Amino acid sequence: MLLTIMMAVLIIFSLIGMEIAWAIGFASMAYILLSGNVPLVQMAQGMTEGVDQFILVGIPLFILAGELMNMAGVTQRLIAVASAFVGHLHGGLANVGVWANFIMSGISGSSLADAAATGTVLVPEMTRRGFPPAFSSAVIASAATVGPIIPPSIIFVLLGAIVDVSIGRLFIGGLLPGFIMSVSMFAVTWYICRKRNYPREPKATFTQVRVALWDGAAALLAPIIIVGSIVGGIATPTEGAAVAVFYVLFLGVVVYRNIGWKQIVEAAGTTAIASSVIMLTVATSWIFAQLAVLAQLGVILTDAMKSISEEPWALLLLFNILMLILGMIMEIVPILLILAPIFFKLFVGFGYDPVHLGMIMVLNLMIGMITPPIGLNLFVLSAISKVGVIEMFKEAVPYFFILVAVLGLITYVPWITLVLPDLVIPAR
Amino acid sequence: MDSTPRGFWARLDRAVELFLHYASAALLLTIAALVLYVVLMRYFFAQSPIWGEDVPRILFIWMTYLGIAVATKRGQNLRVTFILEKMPARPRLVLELAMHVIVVVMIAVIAWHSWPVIQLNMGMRQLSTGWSQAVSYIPFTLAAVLMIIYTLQLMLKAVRDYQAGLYAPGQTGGGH
Repeated sequence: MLLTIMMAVLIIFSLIGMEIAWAIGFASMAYILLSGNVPLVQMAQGMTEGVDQFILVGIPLFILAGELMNMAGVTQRLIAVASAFVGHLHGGLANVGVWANFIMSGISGSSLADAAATGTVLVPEMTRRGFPPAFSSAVIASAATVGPIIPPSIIFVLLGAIVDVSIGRLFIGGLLPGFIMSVSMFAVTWYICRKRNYPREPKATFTQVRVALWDGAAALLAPIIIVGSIVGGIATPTEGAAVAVFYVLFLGVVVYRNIGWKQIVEAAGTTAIASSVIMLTVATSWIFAQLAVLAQLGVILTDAMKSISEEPWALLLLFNILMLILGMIMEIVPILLILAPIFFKLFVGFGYDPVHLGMIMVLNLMIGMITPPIGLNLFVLSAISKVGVIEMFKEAVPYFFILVAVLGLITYVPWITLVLPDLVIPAR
Repeated sequence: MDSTPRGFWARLDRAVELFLHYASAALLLTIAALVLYVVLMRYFFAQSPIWGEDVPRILFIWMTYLGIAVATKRGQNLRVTFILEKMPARPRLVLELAMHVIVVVMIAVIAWHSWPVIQLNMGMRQLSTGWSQAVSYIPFTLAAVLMIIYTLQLMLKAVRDYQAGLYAPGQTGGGH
């Protein structure tokens, strides 16, 4: 009963407009006050202890790397590289959006940051070429879902802080699924644009391709340096994030020479506040998760699922359906903090690899980024293009279905996720 | 110079906001530099400072809570407004204010209960730095005071936006 009240308070207050972090806090406080057996001091402690982990320090550092990358003009260079290779195919700049997001994902760790960076540059340009803004926005919003799947990924860092899973293996595990996502979205884009006869770019000459590659070479090296330092055992994920910051600073200050102190401080300020907003949600979700354990949420949920079926494949299907629905109506951080420990325990018991589970969970939540009512990528693109969220979602429907198909593939073919980590960093 | 109390308080308000903004930026850059220093020391000199994880972690907690205060002031905390935006002006204002009151009371209650935690940790020292363990718990309490003030400011802004007619259904203005 108390658990039901807690969940109801959380969902109702989130939907009616309370700040999400405080809606989670309010649900937790309601539980504490009604149960009468948990001291409020625990909540006060949780506000600090929920964010008191070295691994979380990597999150603002990866966001800072992304901010600096934008300021250094890396986004435009990566878009130019993508344009040189796929701009002339059916889909034109829409293809460029898909592949620019794929490359950007290797430097930034956030879907929202990628959506904002590529959307700001590409949506106005696509509109000038004659693409409907709703379609352009839908393509970018969908393409950016690959952000946290391809390493580095702040969501994987967070997951590594919550459950016992190697962040290095998660990072490597995301490469193939991320590539399949981008190829699938590229195919959808190609098909739609061919059918609707959307404009294409002129084919780049060999010299143009060479220039674009040369110009973007230092930026293209970034993912190798960042992920290489982590996977190669030189740096922990948090340290890898610091390496990313200084590599992007090196690009902006020394190579491209378009970043100075003013921009660095501006980026650090924006990042510190953006990261704090995430961390407030982490802190209150951490408290909620502790209370959910006390209230036996895990036992209740797993019993309910097992009452439907005890077959692992059916449980995975139920898990996917639940995650997809929650991803549509809730923010990612509380879902991860509250439910990852429960479901990881259940499925690891069935012999599933935690890296595989992490991939399934994060991909589900990424699909939630392009579905109303709480599809944050749609919100970001709506702010850029001024297209309504529902109008944009209508154009994103084919991408939604192809991503669900990829999700099915990744869920039932674990090899796709595990082949690379098993080769590079075998499980302990 | 504007010496009226209104001007003074507005300036103080702005100065505190800017201080918090730049302090959180400086903390983030310091964290990045310290973490990189640890990697370089380990990679090139095979030695890591004993405080390598603890100092960045503590600075991160400070950055987080100073940043949250600024985010609250600017109404940047993540929230969903699609239901609010469809509501008529008056019920919307009432709902906005009610939610702000809940948040203020909640933060005040948590902050009140954070004081014993600080006192308990005051005398305990961290092995790596020798700092009091309370250093990690102070930022939340400090930020809580600021968040209460800033949420009250948001309530005043919501009333002003309502009076200025910014609360018509479909408007995204007002509140945050």
